[in-house]
Amino acid sequence: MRIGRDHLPWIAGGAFVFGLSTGGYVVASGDPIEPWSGGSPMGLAFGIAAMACMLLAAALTLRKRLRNWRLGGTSHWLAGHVWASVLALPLVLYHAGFRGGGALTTTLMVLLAVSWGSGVLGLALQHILPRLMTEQVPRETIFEQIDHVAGLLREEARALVEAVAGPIEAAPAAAGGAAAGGAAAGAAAAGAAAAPAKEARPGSAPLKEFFLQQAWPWLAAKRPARAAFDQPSTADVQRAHVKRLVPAELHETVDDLFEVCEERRQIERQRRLHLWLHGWLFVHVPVSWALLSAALFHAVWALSF
Amino acid sequence: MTPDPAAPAPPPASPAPEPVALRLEQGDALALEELVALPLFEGLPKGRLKLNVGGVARRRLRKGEVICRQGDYGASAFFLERGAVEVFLESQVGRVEKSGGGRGLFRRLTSVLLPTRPAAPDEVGPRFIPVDAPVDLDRMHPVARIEAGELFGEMACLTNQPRAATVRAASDEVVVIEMLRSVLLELRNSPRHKERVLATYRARALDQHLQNVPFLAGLSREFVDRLRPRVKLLQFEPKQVIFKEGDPADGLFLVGMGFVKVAKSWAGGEFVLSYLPRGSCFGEMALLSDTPRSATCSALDHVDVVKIETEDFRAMLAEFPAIRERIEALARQRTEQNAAIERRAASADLEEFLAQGLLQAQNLLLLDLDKCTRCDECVRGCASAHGGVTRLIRDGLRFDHHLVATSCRSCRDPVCMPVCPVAAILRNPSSLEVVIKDWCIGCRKCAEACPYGNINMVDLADPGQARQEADPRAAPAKAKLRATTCDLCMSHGQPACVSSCPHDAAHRVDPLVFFRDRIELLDPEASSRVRGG
Repeated sequence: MRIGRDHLPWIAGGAFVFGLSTGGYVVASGDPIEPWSGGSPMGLAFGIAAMACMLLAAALTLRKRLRNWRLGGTSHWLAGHVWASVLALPLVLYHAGFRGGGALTTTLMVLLAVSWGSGVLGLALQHILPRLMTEQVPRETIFEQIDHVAGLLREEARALVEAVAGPIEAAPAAAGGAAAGGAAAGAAAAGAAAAPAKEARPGSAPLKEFFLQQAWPWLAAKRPARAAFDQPSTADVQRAHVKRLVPAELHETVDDLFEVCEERRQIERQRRLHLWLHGWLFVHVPVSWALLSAALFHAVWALSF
Repeated sequence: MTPDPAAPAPPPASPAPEPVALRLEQGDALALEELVALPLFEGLPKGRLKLNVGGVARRRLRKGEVICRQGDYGASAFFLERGAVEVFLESQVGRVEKSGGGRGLFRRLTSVLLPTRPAAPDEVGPRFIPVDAPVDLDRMHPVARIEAGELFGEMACLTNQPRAATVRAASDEVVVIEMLRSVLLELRNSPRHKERVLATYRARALDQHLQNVPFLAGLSREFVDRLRPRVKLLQFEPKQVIFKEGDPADGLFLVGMGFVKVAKSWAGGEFVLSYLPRGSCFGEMALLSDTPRSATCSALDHVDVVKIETEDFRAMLAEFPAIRERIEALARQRTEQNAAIERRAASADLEEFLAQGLLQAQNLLLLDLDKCTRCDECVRGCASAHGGVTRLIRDGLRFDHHLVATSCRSCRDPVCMPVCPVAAILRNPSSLEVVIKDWCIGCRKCAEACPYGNINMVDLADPGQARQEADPRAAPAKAKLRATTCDLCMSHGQPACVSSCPHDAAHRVDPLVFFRDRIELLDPEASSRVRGG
């Protein structure tokens, strides 16, 4: 979600309601005879308005469930979700008169703070990370297929080295237990690649050693730790180093091997960014539902007594 | 490992077609004397027949026995010597859906908010389904009968396409002459055979053919009878030109077999305006305006066309004013469509644009990667709008900061169309998007032909039910797949992928309009052509 021109009506409406509420609160809370109370007519109005904002924000879930209904574009609903949630915070504070209360009120305030804060964090992340991912991960794949693609890359790298250095029997199975799908796909990829050379080409030993010592453990790890391949700049230094160790006719293989590692690095970067991009929802969604439930309970309780 | 970003996505993997029989394994192979005695081969030199001994067999079948089955690959054609056979589709005529909506009162109450059923695209179109036989199948009841003396299975034999329909014996004693491709080609070159085919066409198929051309509806029986002895049957080899752009207009053509390519010459080569399947007509525009041909029409494969001479065409227009109005309206529509396609084709030539096939596209699904959070709501929205089966994959090539998603592009040159053995892939006449009709037989040819992997084969839940309702004696279904592609959610008002995107990242666009500014930045000359300058 990027805040753009299409959000202007929501921003203008929210600003208007915010200004009106702030004015009303300043006037009403300044009464020296009757202290501010959430149960006063003005306090109740703020409470009802805040509840309405929360319900409007929650309606996004309903819209997402009813994808096929003619209820307008989901992007409009998300814009409404964002700005109604933003407005709910001052309305709740005005309703409470900037004071805490009993256990329920405190719980509500904590839930509101967490829900609001996680929402703002999510908005910020969704502003920044998609562009970052586009720039840093040009070889992006479908998130669910990352393990599968990692398996393909691992076996492709092995096939590349085997084609010049002969069979690599010492390469252990995927360290850290790469996904079964990835291993199977990798085996398929290896089958499709060039067959291992019967005899190692002269001067290929350093490449084989580099592969076994550094590249293979990194490629085979399910979650590769930071290593020489983790940054393009350090990978370039490594590439130059390996090229110095092998004859010129093997330079193309070295380049291909580092390209495979670069792709693996990119999809690992994608995994991390993706988790940041969506991880905040694991906090925001349950806390928001808890907040809505507690607020409804609070409303029924307060109106009943 | 990663595909070349400049190359189109590879077509989806599919199992290899069943091996084509290189010789006839069923029936009794006919000796040279028997071949010479057959009326079918009358007029063929004995020396030519001698070369083909072993390529013709006689098969005797009892009622209900299957001669060839829909979807199978075969290198032979059939001549029905005695008895009658039935031709029918085994595939389920219906939409691909995996889940239903609500029912009863709730459904009625919510009908205002719910989209109309996505039936509109499939309910329009020709009344008859063209199959590889001298008869077409009525969409409402896709079963037809062929009597003795007819030839069927020619297209599958000549072009190695899968069989378009299943054929089985419909009478107690059926005798079929099965012949290999070499024999069929000899036959097609025989003047006597051409005469026979034309006579059969005039006697049996002309009426149905004329009925299937929408703007010719309403022709009187008397006029058709008058037309019958005057029409000509012309046969063309693959790539042979029927008429060239600029040629004088000399008649109206009806496609009897195969596909006709309609193309215009262009500075960059040629661009395809349309592919016309069996049952279509062409050549009316130049006749109406009395001008030279505006495009080149050529045979894409082995094509039979029926020609109606200019004087008959003019007599028809004079006698039937309603038909004249319809033809004039069609000619106007085609002129506008062709002009729009020409404007687009002459508009950009950026290398990357071309390399990704974007020039071919008329309608792209683009995801703005600076906005897209990769939440897959677009994919879920698509699945939701199509009964649980998505027609979109959120993957593909990038252009600028946009992802060109794997979803039908409504190509200007829809290479999926001419490979369909039952002509189930059509273009919407007004919006030009590609529509796969519900009589698809699931042969995968279109999915293999699509250079962008945008046609998905979907397993059908219950392929046998509809067919058995139409014909209780039908054999168990073999075809269980159905090709699906983006239909732009015609009945929803807006594509579901676009309306489902919470981040305003998904857009359906005309690439030449959408990327105009970027093209200008990279190539001002191309940009001026985009603007039509």
